[in-house]
Amino acid sequence: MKQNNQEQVPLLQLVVSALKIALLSFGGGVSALPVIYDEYVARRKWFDDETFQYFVTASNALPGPIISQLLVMIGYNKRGRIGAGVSFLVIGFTGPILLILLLTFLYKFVPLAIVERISQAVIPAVLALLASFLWQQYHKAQKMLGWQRNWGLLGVAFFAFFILEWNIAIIFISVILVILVITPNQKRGESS
Amino acid sequence: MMLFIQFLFGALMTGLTAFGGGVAFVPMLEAFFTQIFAIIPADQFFEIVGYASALPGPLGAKIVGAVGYETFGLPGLIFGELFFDGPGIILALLLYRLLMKNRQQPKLQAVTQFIQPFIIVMVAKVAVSLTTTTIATMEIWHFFIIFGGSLFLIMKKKYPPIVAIIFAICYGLVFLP
Repeated sequence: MKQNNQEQVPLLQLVVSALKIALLSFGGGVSALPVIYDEYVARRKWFDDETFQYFVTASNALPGPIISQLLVMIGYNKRGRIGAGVSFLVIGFTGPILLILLLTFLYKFVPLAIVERISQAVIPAVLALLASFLWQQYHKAQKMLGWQRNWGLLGVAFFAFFILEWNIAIIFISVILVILVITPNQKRGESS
Repeated sequence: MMLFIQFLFGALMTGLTAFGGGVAFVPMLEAFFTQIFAIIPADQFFEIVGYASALPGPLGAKIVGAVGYETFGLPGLIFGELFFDGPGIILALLLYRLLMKNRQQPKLQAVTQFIQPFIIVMVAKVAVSLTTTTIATMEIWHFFIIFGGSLFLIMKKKYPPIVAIIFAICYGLVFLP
């Protein structure tokens, strides 16, 4: 197991990465996961897959904006409270400020038609990012779980997401609870 | 002042109760800002949503920020974001600390292993719904050129995501109607 604790990362790098996510995450929420994974795990190698998994699990089991939650956890992990605050400022305000600029005076120069064209064109690219992300994650799960367990769980997940159409957080919370209950352990007394 | 408090209340409640992020926030924000409290006229709200979904970054935060700014100026932006993002972020940090403190426990390691297929299907579901909404409005060959081109750039050429995004934007500006 790797140590999780803060090898100090320059705040500037934290800001640059958060800004990158703020500017590249089209499609909202979950569709930003590939970009975030690429930036922090693949490129900067600040986290191993397991830690990233913790981030994703925590943000999905809770209400609230996923991208901001992820970036704040990442900032916190690297630089404590200051890191969390800086990440929040960048991810919380970059998009809104761009939007306000666009709404208050840029709209005279940038017609809505062009903005819409860009937003449409970007989606297939986001889908390609999602596809490549899914491909990587699938192979990782296959290696980690073996194909029987992986496909069994994929089937359960498919049922929960596509057939029952449960809410994401409900699915995550139930899965976490079920796993906590059925995994044998020396220590008792997890949250219920 | 009353209106400002109502605005913050709407932002807070949405941030606290909407799960899944992105589009999940829009109907709730709409209800709070245009129906329950008359903070902004509906047509103006949807104009904001239109521009907001075209820009990068978390969708809900953009909408809250713009509604706040248009109605209350700078304090609307700042406090709107604090109230909207705040609770979710604090909860996430608390859960994260709890997870990290106990990460050596076999139970938690089992969670991170077995949750993986669920993350995969969650992402796949988002991909499916994005695909269906996009194919409905976009010529299919444009779709496949941008999709295929981006896939080639990131999987074959191993370029970072930004290259695919820029390629898509350029293609859209030149070729999309």
